[in-house]
Amino acid sequence: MSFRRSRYFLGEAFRGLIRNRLMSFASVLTVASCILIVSVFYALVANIDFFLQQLEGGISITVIIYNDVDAAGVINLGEQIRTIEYVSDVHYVSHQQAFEIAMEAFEDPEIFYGILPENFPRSFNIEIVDIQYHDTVLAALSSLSNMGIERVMHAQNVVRMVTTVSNMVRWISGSLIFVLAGVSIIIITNTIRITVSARQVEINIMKYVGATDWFIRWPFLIEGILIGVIGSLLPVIIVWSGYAQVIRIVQEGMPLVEFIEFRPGHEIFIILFPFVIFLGALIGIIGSGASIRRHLHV
Amino acid sequence: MIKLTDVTKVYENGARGIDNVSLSIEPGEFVFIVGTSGSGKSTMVRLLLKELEPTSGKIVVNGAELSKLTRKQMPDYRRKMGVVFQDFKLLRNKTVYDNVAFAMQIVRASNREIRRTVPQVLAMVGLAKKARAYPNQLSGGEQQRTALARAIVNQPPLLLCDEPTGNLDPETAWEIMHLLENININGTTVVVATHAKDIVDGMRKRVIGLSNGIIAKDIEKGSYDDVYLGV
Ligand SMILES: Nc1ncnc2c1ncn2[C@@H]1O[C@H](COP(=O)(O)OP(=O)(O)O)[C@@H](O)[C@H]1O
Ligand SMILES: [Mg+2]
Repeated sequence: MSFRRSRYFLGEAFRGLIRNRLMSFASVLTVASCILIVSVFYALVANIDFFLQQLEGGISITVIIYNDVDAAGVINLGEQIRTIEYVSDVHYVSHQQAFEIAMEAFEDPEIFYGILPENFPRSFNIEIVDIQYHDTVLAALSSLSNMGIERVMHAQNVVRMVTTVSNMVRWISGSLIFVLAGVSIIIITNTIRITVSARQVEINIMKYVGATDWFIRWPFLIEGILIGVIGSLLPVIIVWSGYAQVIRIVQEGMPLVEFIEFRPGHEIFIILFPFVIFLGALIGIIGSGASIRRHLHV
Repeated sequence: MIKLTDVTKVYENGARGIDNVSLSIEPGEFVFIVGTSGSGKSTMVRLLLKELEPTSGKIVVNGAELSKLTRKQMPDYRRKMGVVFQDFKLLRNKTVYDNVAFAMQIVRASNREIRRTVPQVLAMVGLAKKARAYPNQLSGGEQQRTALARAIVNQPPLLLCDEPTGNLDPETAWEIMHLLENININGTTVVVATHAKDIVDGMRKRVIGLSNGIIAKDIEKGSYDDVYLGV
């Protein structure tokens, strides 16, 4: 499309927006409210995800070793564990290290009086690639149980809960965006359809003079894109500028939450901004495309 | 230029628009299609525009057989003819100038060409001073001049008019007819559907008379009554 044509289409689109300002305004508001919900929800999901990631980082599996296993046996066991798929890191904890960790954990070392480091079992601390492989790694460990493993300690319930919650959140947010986009498209289709019907006479005249379908269609499509983009810019800017405020209020209002880290605003909006603009434009173009289709067949 | 062979148009409700019509119009001709209301004049024009499909028969216009034109070829086909209607069919939200320029934008004329040609054509139809006016600020005659300017701005070989003077007072009607005559003298084939007896009689051109969708008479340099009362 040449520059001259684009300028003509853009001019027609703006004229259309202004001529039907009430309809345009209604459409922009529709997109804006949907995008607002999408943005708020995305910010929420991003933070829940962020929180879960932190939680995941703290979840590891501990393998307690029998006291009667000799040094060679421990080395052998460590090598076997390292070969298990999805294990990212294996860390050996000796009697002495276990003793020191216990000492540090309690404020009053007196209670350890008379207890020797040898009373604290040796262990392997296992990190896994992703929390979703937790059960797979556990199954692999159970096949090594005759190699001197006294016990495997893990937080399976926490793991289950974390994965369930994180999957649920992703699923809900995905379908919410889907549903909201659908609703916006339907509403935009109908609002633009009204303006298209109002211009049916004009469309017919244009066809008499020999205008192609695309020549007639472009201004409407651009009008839809403009509505979508304007409608998505508004809420994303509102959510962006409100984000830091909300975090501050949450942290001041609920002291318990203070130690939870929030995802930095720029990390969220560097993804949300282009996504929402694209979504808005897509909603607008689908809405206007659908509303004009019927009217072109003259 | 135009050739109809055994063309019949029956509407969905069973009404006969035109009935087994055959005729031929040569390049450069000026032809009236006359008949009372409901005789099939508009049906004929709409068939030539390919706004309607004939129920049977063959229509060839500008060398194109209409039944063979695809949807994609339609814009090109329509660009090769100017159309003028009784109700003007101007774009309400565009000025006189922009209404005429629109037809040129569609055919991708350059801005320079548009700026050069549109004023010339507006001057030719006597609207030079009204270029910035909107259709609702114009008289019927001025609106029809605008429509005429739009129809000829791309210099089409064929001009189709359906009751072009139907909404105009006699004096204005004559002004439009003289413009049409001039356009025809410059080489454009002009077809005018009308039931205006005075005009047909005054112009002394070829007259094709329709009666209930059938060609009653086809007379060179005829008058309205010739067609119906016999020569
Ligand atoms: N859209 C239509 N649907 C059904 N019948 C129509 C339609 N248009 C015209 N007719 C019928 O076709 C016949 C010719 O009409 P028309 O071509 O409009 O005549 P004219 O233009 O000479 O007045 C009339 O009987 C009219 O009722
Ligand atoms: Mg008619």
